[in-house]
Amino acid sequence: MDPRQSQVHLKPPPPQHVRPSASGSSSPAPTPRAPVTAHPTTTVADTVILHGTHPISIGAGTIVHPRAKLYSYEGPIVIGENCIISEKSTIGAAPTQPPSLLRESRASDGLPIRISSCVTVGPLATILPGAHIHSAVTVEALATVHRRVSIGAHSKICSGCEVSDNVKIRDWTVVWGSGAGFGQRRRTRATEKMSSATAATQGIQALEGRVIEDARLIVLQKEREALVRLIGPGGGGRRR
Amino acid sequence: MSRPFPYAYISCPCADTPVPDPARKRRSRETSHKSNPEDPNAPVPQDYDFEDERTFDPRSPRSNFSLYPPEQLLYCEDCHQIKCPRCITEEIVCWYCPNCLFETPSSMVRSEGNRCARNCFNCPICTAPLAVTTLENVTAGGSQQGPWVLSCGYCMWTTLDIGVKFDKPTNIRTQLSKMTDSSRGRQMSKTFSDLKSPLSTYSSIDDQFPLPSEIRGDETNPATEQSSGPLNPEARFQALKGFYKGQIASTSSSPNDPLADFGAGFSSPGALNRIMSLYTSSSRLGNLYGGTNKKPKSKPPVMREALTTSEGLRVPAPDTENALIRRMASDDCGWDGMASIEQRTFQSPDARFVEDLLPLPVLLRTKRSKRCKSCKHILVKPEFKPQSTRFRIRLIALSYIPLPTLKPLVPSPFAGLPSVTPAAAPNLDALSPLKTVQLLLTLKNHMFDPVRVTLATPSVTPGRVASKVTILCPQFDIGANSDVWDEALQGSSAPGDARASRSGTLGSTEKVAEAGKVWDKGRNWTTVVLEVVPGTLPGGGATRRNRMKQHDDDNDDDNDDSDADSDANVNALDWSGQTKDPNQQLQPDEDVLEIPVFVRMEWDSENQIDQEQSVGKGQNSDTVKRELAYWMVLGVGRISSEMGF
Repeated sequence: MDPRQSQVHLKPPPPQHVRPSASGSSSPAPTPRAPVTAHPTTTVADTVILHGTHPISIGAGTIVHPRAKLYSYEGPIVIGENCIISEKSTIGAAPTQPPSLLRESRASDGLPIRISSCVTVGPLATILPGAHIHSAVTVEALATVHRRVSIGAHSKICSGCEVSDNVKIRDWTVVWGSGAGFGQRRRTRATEKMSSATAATQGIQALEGRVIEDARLIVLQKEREALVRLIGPGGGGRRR
Repeated sequence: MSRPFPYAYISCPCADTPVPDPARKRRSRETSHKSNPEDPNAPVPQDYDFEDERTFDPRSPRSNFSLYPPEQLLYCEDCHQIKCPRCITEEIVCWYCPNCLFETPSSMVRSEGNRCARNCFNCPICTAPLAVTTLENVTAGGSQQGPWVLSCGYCMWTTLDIGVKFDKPTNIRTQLSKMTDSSRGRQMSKTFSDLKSPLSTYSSIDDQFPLPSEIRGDETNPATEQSSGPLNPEARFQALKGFYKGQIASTSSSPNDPLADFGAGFSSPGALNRIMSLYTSSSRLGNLYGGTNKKPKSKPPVMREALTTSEGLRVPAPDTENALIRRMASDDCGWDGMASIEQRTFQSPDARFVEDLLPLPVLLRTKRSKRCKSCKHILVKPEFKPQSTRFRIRLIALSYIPLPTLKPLVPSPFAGLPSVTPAAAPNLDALSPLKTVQLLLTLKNHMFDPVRVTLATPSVTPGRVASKVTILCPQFDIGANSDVWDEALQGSSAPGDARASRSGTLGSTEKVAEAGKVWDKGRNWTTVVLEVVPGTLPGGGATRRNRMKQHDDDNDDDNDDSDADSDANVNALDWSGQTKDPNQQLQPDEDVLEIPVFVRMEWDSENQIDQEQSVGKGQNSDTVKRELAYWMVLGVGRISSEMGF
């Protein structure tokens, strides 16, 4: 590990670095600061690492928790509205070579990371360049989303699961189970009225499975609001 | 074995001595007397006599069953003996649900099965616990009246996935069973009442097989019954059970029937024996039953199988299999739509798809009390309440026997012989053969009396890989487990020194292991040094020989000689006889260096009033001399096949 990086872990970067105006070229430190554009209602903690050469944009109402790492060396990062990026999660890939050599070697546009609205990224989760995460997806703690993965809307990557390179996951899918035992499995969530042998003979007028997801999204919204109220505008974190 | 090196196992004495049960003792003596003349090679019964003299062999197949980690053993205060899980009996104190911690009476467990009867369910997909959640409350912000579902926090499965919702948040088990019963067997109550088949009363063989017209007539009935819906699996099992019971009763009740002897004993294991003897000694039976009057014996009545739905028969629809296959092949099912074997384990046998899976009530757990098998003394008794994790009685062996710990002694380069021993800790997973390793064996006493310990070990470990073992100080004392502050207040030993020797690495610069001397000693522990010379592996020696052979082909006859020699040697020692080529092949775990150590401890314990022997022994002294002896096995490491030079 680069000793310079570990230093960054310990102390928060000076505030002027994250401003879009101050790019890495002016500062003597060779770690390039990514040009960040954020909505005024975004909450980004002080200790968030925003490194890279490509632009990073964060949508309205999104919360980025402390010590999250956003690396835009290989492509731009676009985060939509009302997302939650949890502690110590990594979005993008840390540079493998010294940052001073990076400028010459990288491609023009690279692999963009697109995260749509209402996405939850759990603590210590990793999202690698090229991932396209659609709306209302949950990536749980310690999960890894590899390069060029597309995750459909309302899906869930359960904690510890890995999604391999170039995999496309359909909407409303749960990727669960990892480690020993029967390995990783997938499951499609119910979206409309489901029927089974039990329910059919019972004559139950079942609700649509979608109501569960609606309820979950409402809870998420409340969690975000509560957090903003707790921290307060400008208190603790930065509001842009 | 399964633990990382170094480890220590203790052998429960029950492996050597049979349980002190007089009947069993007699039996074993009988068998030994009986078997000896027949088979003089049988070694096991003879061994009982010499058990005390024999060295414990950690590799023998029997010892597998007696070796336990010290923390798993119990101790009986009445027998004054170590007790392993095989020499105790268990009694269930209570049944409780681990989820809601509610106790279930054992009568209910017997009637309803060992699953939580309340609200606790596991996800049928991923086995995570399900939560009871309401829908209306969250979405519309209404009152608590909404429909309720079970939802899984992990894989986001809800009962809406199978189209089920509940009206009340309580008693979900009964709500769910009502739904499944009415869907799968609506007439369950009815079938329970007419479980008894109308045919089961027929007794003679001719009536057993109904005429074809009757069969047809019977089949019209199930056809009408089937239209109302098949039984659910539980009801079907009950129906079949009742049906076969009736069949057994009716077939064996007929007169002059040889099977009548063992009437209802079909389910007993003795029944098979008797049936087999019917066939083998048919001539004798013929004499008994029809030998004299030559009357043709009536054929034993034949049991018929279930014929109607009410008896438990289920005839699947003719195109069921095709429909299943078509559904599997369809796009919306796929691999993810199929239920896995793990998911189907506890589900109805008909559940093939994910949609067929029902939430599983949580399995109950038990609290058990443990008793000594020989004297019925209670060894472990937990608190009755499921919420409490405390124990009323718990006699674990570690509070009576010293805890053995083993660690390699890393000599410093300044000590004695710097050139022979390297300063680095030896790699226990690859011990080089024929290179001396010194180990520190620490015994820690947990009793409140000082203990005198005698250790004994065979000078060469049993088995093909013969390692030399020497205990430098086989006899020593361990102090009592007194107040922790005593050591500090007395200040008898320099604390820094003690700490350093315990770690075994630092500070022991001046120390050299000496024969007859204890390495180190503390308040309630004593450390002695073990010197081990790992033996050579048979396979390793062979490869060395082959290498030599490649170097010079001249001395062929010499090689042959040594090969034959080692072969004979191996045949003499090979106790299992599994290997085809014992010279080359190493049996699994044969390279593990395990040292059997015989531990004998003596101590003076305080007199306890309820002990007869103490009353008999000495009225004037209030102490009793006690002793305890057992084998323990020290796993030092794995011997590597390569010689380290």
